[in-house]
Amino acid sequence: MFFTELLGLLNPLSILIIFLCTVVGIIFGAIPGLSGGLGVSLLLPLTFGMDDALSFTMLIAVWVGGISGGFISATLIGIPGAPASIATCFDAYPLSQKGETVRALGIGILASFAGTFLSCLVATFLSPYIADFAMKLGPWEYFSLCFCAITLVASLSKGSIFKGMFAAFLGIFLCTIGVAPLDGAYRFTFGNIYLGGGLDMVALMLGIYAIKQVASDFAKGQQELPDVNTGKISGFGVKLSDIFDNIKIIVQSFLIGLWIGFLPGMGSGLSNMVAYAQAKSGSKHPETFGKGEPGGIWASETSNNASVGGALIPMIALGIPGDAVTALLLSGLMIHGLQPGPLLISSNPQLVYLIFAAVMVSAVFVVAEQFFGMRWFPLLLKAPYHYLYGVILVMCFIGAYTSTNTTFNILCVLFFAGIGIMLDVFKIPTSPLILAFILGPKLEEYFRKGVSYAKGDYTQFFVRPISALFLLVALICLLSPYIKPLLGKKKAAANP
Amino acid sequence: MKNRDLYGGILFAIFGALVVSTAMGIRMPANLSEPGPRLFPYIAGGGMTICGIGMALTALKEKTGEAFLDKKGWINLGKAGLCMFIYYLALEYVGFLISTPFFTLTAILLLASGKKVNKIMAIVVALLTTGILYVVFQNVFMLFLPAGKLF
Repeated sequence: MFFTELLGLLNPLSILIIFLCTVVGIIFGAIPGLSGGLGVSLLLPLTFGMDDALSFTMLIAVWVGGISGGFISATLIGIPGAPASIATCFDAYPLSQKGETVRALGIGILASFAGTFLSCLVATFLSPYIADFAMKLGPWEYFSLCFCAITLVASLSKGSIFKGMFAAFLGIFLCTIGVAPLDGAYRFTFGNIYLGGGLDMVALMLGIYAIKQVASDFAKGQQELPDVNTGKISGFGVKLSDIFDNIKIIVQSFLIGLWIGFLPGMGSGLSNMVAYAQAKSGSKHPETFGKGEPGGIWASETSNNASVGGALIPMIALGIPGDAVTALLLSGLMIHGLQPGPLLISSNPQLVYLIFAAVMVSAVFVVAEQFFGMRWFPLLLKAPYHYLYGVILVMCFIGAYTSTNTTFNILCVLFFAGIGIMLDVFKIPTSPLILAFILGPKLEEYFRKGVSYAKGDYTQFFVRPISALFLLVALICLLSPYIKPLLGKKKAAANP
Repeated sequence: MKNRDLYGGILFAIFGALVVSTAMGIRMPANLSEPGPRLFPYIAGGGMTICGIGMALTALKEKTGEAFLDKKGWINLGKAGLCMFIYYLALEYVGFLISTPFFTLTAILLLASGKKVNKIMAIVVALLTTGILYVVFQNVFMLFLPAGKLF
């Protein structure tokens, strides 16, 4: 049935729709402040009167293009197009600044394709089995996983563990602003109605990565764009050795992305950071990360795109959204009179397989479009710095405004830019703050639910095997900066 | 220069303590079977306090790296911040269409940092940016841009 749906997509109208929607998705993904999710939400009302198959093909194509497109701005200007590409900035931009823009783009394109295509393949055939396993996880396991992710990133950050953990606690504090989960209590709003809904992730991302970068580069007098040679580009600009040298990172990041994607409420925004941290910790040369290490780009882009397939698993098999965009897709299913949930596969198998097929075909279109586009994307860097970044500043402000439809969000962007500069002054890493901000609400919700379900019993977090395993990993991460030097000294003493 | 981390650590520790004391005022629903809405602010504030103290103590032993910016750099940062804050106020009160050409032009001239800029070209870029963004957001995406409280 899957192949029937796949072949069914290969008609002129579907191909044209997929082509146009993936281009729109890539543009949305590449513009800081916009995202594939916004593209899906804008397109959703247009699909109300359309045929089911065509409407889902459109929505899926925009989504896949949006996730993939985020790495373009991360590579060229060091500003992530979407939260899914935050970790891509860490190495793609430095690699681009070394004059290897085409190679960085090539790695991003291939990693995005591999992540999306393979994760969807896994989702197509294993959805029911993986979903059965997911049903066995409770709030205790989800809490422990979130906690483990934050400590992993904090412990691997540059500088002292105190600085990494401070950033994580600051992130948790920032996400407690607004209405509390479960009971709706107001926290730190000081009577401001705009703070009731909490601080916006887009404002945080634009403030810390875009506005702060432009302002501090200006202050430091570092207003140079990399010299890009677009003359001779063969293939994707990536050598086979680039792939084989990083094969372990690619596989590992793919699995991380797939796993995180299928956990409800956690998507590509989290998976790219965790996969990056894992790639760095497993590397023989962790000091090269953040300075243009190709492994960092493979890790981030493979994992964030693998979350696409991962997020499809609970959406299709359980009717639970894996991330914000799958929540929109689920609402699309309901608008079209379909009931998402475990019965969807048996009641509407054609549509389910069409969704999987649409993801795969969209991934192929995205890779083809980016392959041709990569000859043109770097031309953006030929524009004088002051024109390029002057326009980008305006787009960031407008992106922040459209995210919540309030000018207050622009003020939040400036506030976060100020926080970003403060972190730079004290050399405090930003990744733990971002990750804690993304995960904070989930961390609190799962913790409080876990305690509530267990009627006040806190031991459930430690006695449930999967939860205990994650907590153990978190503890090892926290202690590793102190254990590693001790082990090193012992080794040195044993081999003088 | 070890003072930066020392003072920063103390400042962060005080800030953490302030968070904890403010969190004590959060309304607690009655008969809760779970820790309630104060727990995470306590954890965040307490954690910041401990890490701030840790940073300050570490700074007593180790030297902090070179200064983030020199005096001229801080002045430039202030200029950039002020320019962006004025743009925020302008968006709030006079709206996107009036404020954006002026901000784009100012940003272009500011970021050029003394390099020679073709003024006509800069004005054209500023007007085109405003026009294109306005048409695309208002007419294509149907997303309305700030109209300004004064209009």
